[in-house]
Amino acid sequence: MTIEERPATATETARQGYELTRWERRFIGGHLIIAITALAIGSLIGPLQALEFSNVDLYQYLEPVLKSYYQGLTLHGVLNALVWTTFFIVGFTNLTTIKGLGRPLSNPKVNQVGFITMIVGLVMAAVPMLLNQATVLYTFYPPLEASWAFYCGLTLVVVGSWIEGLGFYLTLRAWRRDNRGVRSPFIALAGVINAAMWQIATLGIAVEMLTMLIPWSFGITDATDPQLARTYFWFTGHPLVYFWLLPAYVSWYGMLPKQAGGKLFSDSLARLSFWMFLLVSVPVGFHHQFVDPGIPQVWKWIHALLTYAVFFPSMLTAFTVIASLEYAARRRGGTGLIGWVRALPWDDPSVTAQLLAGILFMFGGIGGLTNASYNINLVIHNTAWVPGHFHLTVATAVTLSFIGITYWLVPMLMGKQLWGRKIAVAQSWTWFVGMVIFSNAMHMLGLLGAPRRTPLGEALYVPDEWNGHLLRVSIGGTILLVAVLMYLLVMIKTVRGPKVEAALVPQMPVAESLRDPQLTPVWLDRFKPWLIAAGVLLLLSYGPQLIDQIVHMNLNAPGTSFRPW
Amino acid sequence: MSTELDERPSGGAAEPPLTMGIDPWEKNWMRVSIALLVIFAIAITIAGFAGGFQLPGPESELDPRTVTQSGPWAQPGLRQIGDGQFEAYVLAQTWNFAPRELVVPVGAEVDIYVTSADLQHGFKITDTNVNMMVVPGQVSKLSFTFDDIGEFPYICTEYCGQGHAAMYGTVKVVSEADYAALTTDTATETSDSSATQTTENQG
Amino acid sequence: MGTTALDDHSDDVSDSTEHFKPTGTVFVLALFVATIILLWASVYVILLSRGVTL
Ligand code: HEM
Ligand SMILES: [Cu+2]
Ligand SMILES: [Cu+2]
Repeated sequence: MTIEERPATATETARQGYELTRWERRFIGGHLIIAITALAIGSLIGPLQALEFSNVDLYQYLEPVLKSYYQGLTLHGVLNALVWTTFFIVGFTNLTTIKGLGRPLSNPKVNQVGFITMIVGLVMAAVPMLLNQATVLYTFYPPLEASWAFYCGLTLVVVGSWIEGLGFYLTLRAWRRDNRGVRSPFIALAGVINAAMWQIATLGIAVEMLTMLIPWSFGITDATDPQLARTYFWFTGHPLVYFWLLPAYVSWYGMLPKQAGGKLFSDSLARLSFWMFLLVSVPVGFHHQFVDPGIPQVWKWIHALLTYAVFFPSMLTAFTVIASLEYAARRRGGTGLIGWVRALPWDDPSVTAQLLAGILFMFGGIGGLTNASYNINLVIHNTAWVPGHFHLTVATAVTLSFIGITYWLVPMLMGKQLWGRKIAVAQSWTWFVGMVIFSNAMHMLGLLGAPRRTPLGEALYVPDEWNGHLLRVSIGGTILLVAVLMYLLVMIKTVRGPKVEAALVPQMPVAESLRDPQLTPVWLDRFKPWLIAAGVLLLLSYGPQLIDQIVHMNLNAPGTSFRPW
Repeated sequence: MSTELDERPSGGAAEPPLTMGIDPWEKNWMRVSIALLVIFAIAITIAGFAGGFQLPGPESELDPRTVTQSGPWAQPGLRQIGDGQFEAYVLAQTWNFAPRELVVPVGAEVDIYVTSADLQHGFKITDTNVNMMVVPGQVSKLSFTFDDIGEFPYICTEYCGQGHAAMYGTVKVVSEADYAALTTDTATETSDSSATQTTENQG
Repeated sequence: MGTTALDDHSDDVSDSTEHFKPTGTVFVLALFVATIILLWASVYVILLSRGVTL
């Protein structure tokens, strides 16, 4: 990024008319380029995995680049779930902060430093992954030992995202100082809440890296405490999924209604659900450790109930978003109990992508509720069900929504028109169909007991019963491959297309709410009470176990004497 | 003063009260959601604390560097502890389980203890509710009664390196008669032979 | 690009929740709840059928 063009000093520019400066467009665009490149590489590896399940081994032809299924899976997980998401989200939050508040970043240097830190971290982590020196999957459970550069790189990516988060917060604070008594615009507030949640959540991974993995990878210590590492990791690991999801919710609440021709049904409940996510996203991590040996059952049970609590704001979201869409559809002439759905603008690729994302998210939600249900986890833990589940959530609800956002955002930033609207619409449908087949088959395999993170084509214990489902995974994966290629085609053609006159360039959709946001109670606009409550809840739900595990820390697991991959 | 989302003036003489403005339908939806979650919570709680569908918890800790030198995991395998009651000590190590086979009579109640000598592994017995993470330094334990005759693979469900897809073993549940025939031949065979088998397979 | 999408519906302020009953939403969500119960319960039944882990 170049620094020569600075945003104008903060003036009382009217929010509505605020136009992004060239610097801002390039800054946000920089995030998007990295995000989409990561998605391109990462999701092209997915079909290799899916085809392996039916014994179609394409890895042999990729030998110079990919040494194994597992190296590919590491890249797939890290590039998709960590890089694509984080870079997109940070870029998008720059946008919602700037356009939501109608003013430039208050401290653009802060955001710039954050972004550069993220890039340095990404490069540092990518090199060992590509050299097969960090084939530890995106969870990097010790004592699998990756190169130190992998740990340091991921740490820098997180630190960079913190710094950018600080930049968002400072900008919101500056706006509030100038607009006392006015409710913060929803999309800007929501983005900052997500950034705040992320800062709390990533403390787990930060402590894991700094106190255990990095010293170990440098040879300062010679062993790890794998149980404690798991606890640290999942402190961050669950809120991570909300970090991905909330920007999609920002779009569903704050933009999609506008795109569909309607309004936000309930401003106050939209805000309430974001605050609830800040409160309960973090103290639920043990639901990923239900079958861990080192954690007492009662704590697992408490986290199961807290996870049920975090399901609630998503139920609210379902109502508010669907009602906003119904309102839009009825204004467009839609009728009937369900027939109104057809009146939505299905010819708009951005809308279609997000609607299909939302539909599959309902099923992702059901799977998530099942996973979180304490002992039901015994049925599916670490089986193929789990990737079946999160390809509905992060790989569809989030990814397809973000894809839908890029359908207006990329042309907007570049002053262009989207290339191939029809192809873009077909892309979402292709993704949807492929994912339905893929995900259903993965869920079924999981119920039958197939493990995840396993090249099932080569596994030695596969009964005939699994074969039909394995084949469907491959078919779904192939359809998804087509969808990924269609997306890349649309993006490349759009980026390389000609500039068009301003009237043809898509604008940022921001939904008004049905009710005046000034009527929303003040407590839905204040950070302090919610941050205090989140801290207290965190202490109660995690404190005793964390203290216990840290006090009894035992760095006695050195791992293998050889490189196990 | 106006906000971005709305251009209506909101000040003025008759300041309207600040409320959530929740639609009655939406309020009912909140009630339904809460009711649903409460019912599910009760169902899992009953199954867990009254029904015996339990999760693993802290059992004991050990040093993974020395676990194979003494104690039960120096001789992993099955031991009978009572009438129809057994203990199974399973050692997970890249990339196999010792023993590779556990033969039990139908109806056997088995306390299954698993630990790892190196990396994290998983231990899931197909078609049963036995599913545990295997974490170096920790002992994972669940008890299970094998009521059906048949073969039930136990599969490593956590990535543990190159040989992960080959890492599994089998619980063979046999009839009382078959089991009696097996045990009268070689009283301690199961554990011994599988321990040796494991060493052979480590190449 | 002089204006943003915000300006479009600025005169629709008479819309309010009073005039719009989200019946279609309620219908969709009723189906959703039925699906949740069905799918969740089917896995719960699998748990129960696979034996206790005392
Ligand atoms: C586009 C088509 C895609 C296909 C065909 C695909 C396929 C797969 C398959 C088969 C697995 C399971 C591998 C295993 O457990 O052994 C997997 C894992 C995974 N996928 Fe995808 N995937 C796709 C896209 C995505 C996207 C877009 C994301 C996220 C944004 C994503 C995130 C993940 C993650 C986090 C894992 C788990 C990695 C791990 O267990 O360490 N995938 N994928
Ligand atoms: Cu979670
Ligand atoms: Cu394994």
